[in-house]
This record gives sequence, structure tokens and C-alpha cells, in this order.
Amino acid sequence: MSLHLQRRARAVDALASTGIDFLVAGRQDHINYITGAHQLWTAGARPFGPVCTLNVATEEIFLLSTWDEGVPEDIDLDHLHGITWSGAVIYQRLAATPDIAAAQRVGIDAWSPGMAGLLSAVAPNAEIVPADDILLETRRTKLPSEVDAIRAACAVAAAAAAAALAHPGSDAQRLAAGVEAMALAGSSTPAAEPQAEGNIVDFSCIRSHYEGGLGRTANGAPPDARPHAALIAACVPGATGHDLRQAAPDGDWLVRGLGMGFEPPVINSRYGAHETLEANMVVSVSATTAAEYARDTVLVTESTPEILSPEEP
Amino acid sequence: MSKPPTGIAAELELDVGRLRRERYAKLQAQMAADGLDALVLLHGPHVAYATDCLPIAADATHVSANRPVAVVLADQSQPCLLGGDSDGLDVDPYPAVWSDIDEGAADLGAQLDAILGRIAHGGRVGIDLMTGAMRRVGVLSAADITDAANTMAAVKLHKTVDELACIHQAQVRTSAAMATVQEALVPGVRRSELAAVFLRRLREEGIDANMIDVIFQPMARRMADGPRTTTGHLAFPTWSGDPVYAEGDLIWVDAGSDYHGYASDFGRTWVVGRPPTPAEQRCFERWLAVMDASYEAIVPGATFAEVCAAATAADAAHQPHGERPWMPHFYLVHGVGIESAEMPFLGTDNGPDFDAANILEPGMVLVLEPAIWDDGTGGYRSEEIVAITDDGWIPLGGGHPYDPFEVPT
Repeated sequence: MSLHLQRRARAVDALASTGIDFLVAGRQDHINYITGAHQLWTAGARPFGPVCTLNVATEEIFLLSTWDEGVPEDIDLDHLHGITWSGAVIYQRLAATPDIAAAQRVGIDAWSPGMAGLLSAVAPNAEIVPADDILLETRRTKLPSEVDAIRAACAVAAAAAAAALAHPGSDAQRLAAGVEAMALAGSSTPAAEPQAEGNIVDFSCIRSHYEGGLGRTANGAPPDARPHAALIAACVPGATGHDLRQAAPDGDWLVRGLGMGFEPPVINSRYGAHETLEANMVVSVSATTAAEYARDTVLVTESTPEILSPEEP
Repeated sequence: MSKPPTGIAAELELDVGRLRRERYAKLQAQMAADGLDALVLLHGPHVAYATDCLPIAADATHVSANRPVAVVLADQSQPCLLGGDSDGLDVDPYPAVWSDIDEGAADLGAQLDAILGRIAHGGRVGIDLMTGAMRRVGVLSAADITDAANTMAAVKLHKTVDELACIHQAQVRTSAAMATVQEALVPGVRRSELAAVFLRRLREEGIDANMIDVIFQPMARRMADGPRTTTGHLAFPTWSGDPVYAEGDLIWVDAGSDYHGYASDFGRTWVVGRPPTPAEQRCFERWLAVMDASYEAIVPGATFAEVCAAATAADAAHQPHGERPWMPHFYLVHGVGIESAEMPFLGTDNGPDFDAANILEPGMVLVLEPAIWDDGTGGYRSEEIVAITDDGWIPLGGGHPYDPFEVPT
């Protein structure tokens, strides 16, 4: 089964188990997870709007796209909604979704007063509930093909970091060299904002829906002595946020989920003490000490953690 | 008129202090008109409008993970900014919040309660967005919540002189980067190589916010050979992939980047490795005629419909089925500002009544993007930006050439 259908099956199971009969999604990462569609990347979070509607029982999907380019074959042209600029058209389409008028529980992945009113009109008997947590919970553990995609994205980010570290110029010139190298290596879309400041670089990208990234200090310590080395070693199944705090160095640090971009859990000195790591989660592990900054992308395995980002640079 | 508009706006200079003061005053006046006690803003461009804390050009998941939040209270002299970089801004700074996770949303709720005081209990609060986590932990559950969308749309519609300066700067710099990219467009080059040149050059031009994955889309010469569409018309702009360009490929180019939070919108048509054929050149000349007619019709007080009618009439002789010279899923004109596409929209699926009911007003910014198609030949599409003045319009941006097409003398 293709990767996006495996992902969709997981999402559908999770939504069904909470009694949600329709999902109305506006966040591109959730939409990518469920549909596998390749859509034009834009920077920044959009306002909430209905981009993808999923009937949880039948798995019928309606997707906002004027063309079938980039859309997997399992979503037919007659299930694509063309780009619209009209609130009335948005309402008519939602209202025309088969069975939505009888929905009891509609999940959404963000909320605005206007969209809440619109959904209440098309599904008058439904409870409108946040479902972002259900989708993100599903996304925490990765399928093997997802790990491969993350590893490939890490290699692209590493090419950018290497170019920035090697460039002799100003911070701005090193950033320019980094994003140029990243595009040549396979991604013109950053995950986080690229960084080149003094002797520190941090690059990340989205490549084929998945994030990869790493951060380095020029002429830094060997891998075993980097500031996040003990944190990485602590990323094992069953480790709690509290355990990670014990392993963290003095200074800023963050362990957070990574997959189709930034994902939970978020574990730092303030949040996530109750979180527990599991095998097949992928996390970004970063730490800053007085001497050095380092970040890597790490797969939690049944045994020792596997670092998916290249050791060099 | 058939030359790229140029020059006049080069005198626009950004005064950041004035930009902030004028926007904040407009926001306060609009809140009073809308009867709002407070605005709570999470959408990045809205936060930038209220505080000048600029959006970060990163993936949506990163931007939303710990996004800054702006709070504007009626009659307060400056806004509150939760998180973000408040250095040098005229704001009351508050700690960062992680509004996408339940623990962070609870912190956000507590901060909002402290800032809003009694307004949190029954006050009229406009908000543009809530995350799932904010809904789960009950942020602002005792306030009288309304959508901030209308308030923000009203203040954005007419630009101040400094907003025009930002759009102009964004356009000039994007255009400069694209001049280098066009030199790199030779047979055998890949899309990723052009993107690499563009992203490097943008940063060399002082722009670190590329807002859309840059589009160099090779167009099938016949619509039937392109992707299928819901409109039965063209598919553009699709996702990028990494095509290799061959001599004679027809490339539609589209890019957008931010300068001080304001978007550019660059559009051109290029041909790879050879001059345009006479048939391709004729498409360009039809496009120029549509632009000339549109420029002529753009005056304050004109309805959107009048501009659409003028543009349509200019190409009517080539349209046996009465089609309009722009892509049906888009528009003849869209606005640009803190969003890459915002009001005014002319010629959309909002329909003729909408276009007849709305008029052009000074301070509006228009991106004209007609598209000409001659099935079998291909087509021509470019974009130009103008700002409506008290008695006409001025161009924004730098008069980027239409090469390799030739403007008739």
C-alpha cells in the first residue's frame, strides 16, 4: 500500500475511535498526511479554512485544488474543489458534502469564529471539536518509509549547513550560500528559518513533505562531546520528559517531534515533563552551552537512538 | 503606454516610525467603529500589522508552534506582544507562548486573562484564530468573541504611504533577483538550479523572507496536454517538482517575497534558449492590449466591473466564445499587502454583482495579471502592480523588462 494510504488508514482509525464522523482540515501538514497531495508550498501559517474534508466512515475526500497535478489517483477530479474567492461557494461546497448534514461530531484542526459559524450551519446537529491532537498523536510514531524520507531531508539540510560553514563571508553571505546549496541539493522550502550567526549554523528543509535538519558550531567538539550528546543518548523508549530534563545540559535545550514539519511532543525546561518517548518517534534534539550549539534529528529505536542527520558537517 | 510602468514610486521612502503610528491609529479607529474592547491576533501578518513584529518565512508548522500573539486594547497607546522579538518595537513585551500544545495554550490563556482583566469576562473581543489547544483548555471562554477578520480587512484595504514603499521595495528587489535568474535560463538547466540562484540573489538583495516556493512552470502548448482542471482551463501554478528545461520551452514565472512584512508579486513569461515565435509574440501583444485597456480604466470611483469590461473588450476580437482574458480560477486583479493576495479582487468567482457593487478607491494596491491563451501556441502572462491615487494610479516596482518578448514601437 502506498505511504499516503497507510497514513490515511492510521488517521481514520484514530478519528473513528473518538467518534468523529467528519474531519474538516485546514492545516497543510494534516492535509498532506491524509492525502499525499503535493501542493504549492507557501511560507507561514494560513488562516483556518476548509481545504480538505474527510468522511471518516467512507474515507471519501474532497480536496481544494483546481488541478489534478500532484494529487494521488485515489482522489478523482470530481472530488477536487477549485480555488475560490467566494464565501458563498465555500459554504455551498461544504453543505453539498454527502452525509455532512447528519454528522454528529465534526473534527477541525484550527478554529475561528467565522468558520465555527459556517460549520454549525452545514452540520446543525454536530458537535464541532478540535481534532488536531488526534492527528498529531497518530503522527508521532513513524512508518519505515517516513523515516527514510526524513533521513533524505536531513542530507539536504546538511548540504546547506556545509556550504554555510565553508563560506568565508559575512553571516548574510553564508546564509545565502546555505539556501542556494539547499535548493541545489533538493529543497527550496525551509522548515525553520535558516540560521548563520557567528560560528553557528542551523538549517532545515521540507523535502517531499518531510522535514530534516541539523545545527552545528564551526570547529566544534567531536559528536560524543557535543552539548546535546547526553540528551540524544537519553532518547529511548519509556524516557519521560522528566528523564530528559535530568540528561539536559545547563543552558537552552529542546527535544521536539519532527516529521511533516514541527510536531509534538515539545519537551524543554518548562513543558512536556509528562511526555513519554516511544520507539519509531523522530525528534529534533538541540542544546546550547557557553561553548557550543548543536542539533540533530534522532530516531528513537528499541535499542540505542539512531541519528538521522549526517555526522558531518 | 505599452511599456512596463516604471519610476514614479522610486521616491517612496519607508519611515518605519510613521508606518507603525499610522497603522496603529487606523486599528484603534476601526476597533471603535466595530465596537471592540480588544483584539487578539495570532495570524502572522495580522500580528505584524499591529506590532511590526515581522512574520518568519518558515514552514507553517514551525511558524505556528510558538507564534507571537498580539493584543490590542481599545484606547491603549501601544499593543502587547506575547513572544516574538520585541527588540526595538513600540510594544509591551510578554513571554513567549506555545499556542499549539495544551500546556502552552494554558499559559497563553493566563497571560490573556491578566492583560484583558475585566474584558475577559463579557468584553467584546475580536480574534482571528484559535488553535485546537486553545479550544481544549478554554482560552477566553468567558469573553464575547467575534471574528477579527472584518476589522483586519477594513484596515488593510487602503495602504498608507509607507505600506506602498514596502511593496515597492519588495517588488524592486524580487525583480533584481529575477534578472539574474533569467540569465541562467538555458537549455538543460533544472528548476532547482534556477530556484538556487533566485534564493541566493534574494538574500543578496536584502530579503530573507521568500514567501512562496518559486514557480518556473513549463506550460504545455495545448491545454489538453496539461493537468486536468475543475475549470476545464489552465493549471497554474502547480507544485514545483524539478523539471529540466529544453530549448523552446514556455515558462510561466511567479514569485513572491516580503520586504518589512509586505509582499511582492513577480510574474513573467520566458522562452528557453530562443526568441519567441511570431505566434508567441502575438499572445504577448494581446496581453499588452489588455493591460493598456486596464490601465486606462483604473481610476478612483471606477467599479471593479468597469475595469473587467475594459480588459475583456480589448481582447474580444480573439475570443469567439466570449471568454475573459484571465484564468477563471483567479482574477484580472488582486490586491497585495501584508498578504500576497488580498482585497480588492476583480473578476473572481464572487461574480458580476460583486464586481458591480465595489469601486476602486485611493490607497488600494492592484496586481494586474491577465493571461492570454492560444491553444496550440501556448500563452502569455505577466504581472504589474499599481497603487490607486487621488486622480489615477502610480506603478509600484521597477519596470522589469518583458524579454525575450518585444514591446512594439
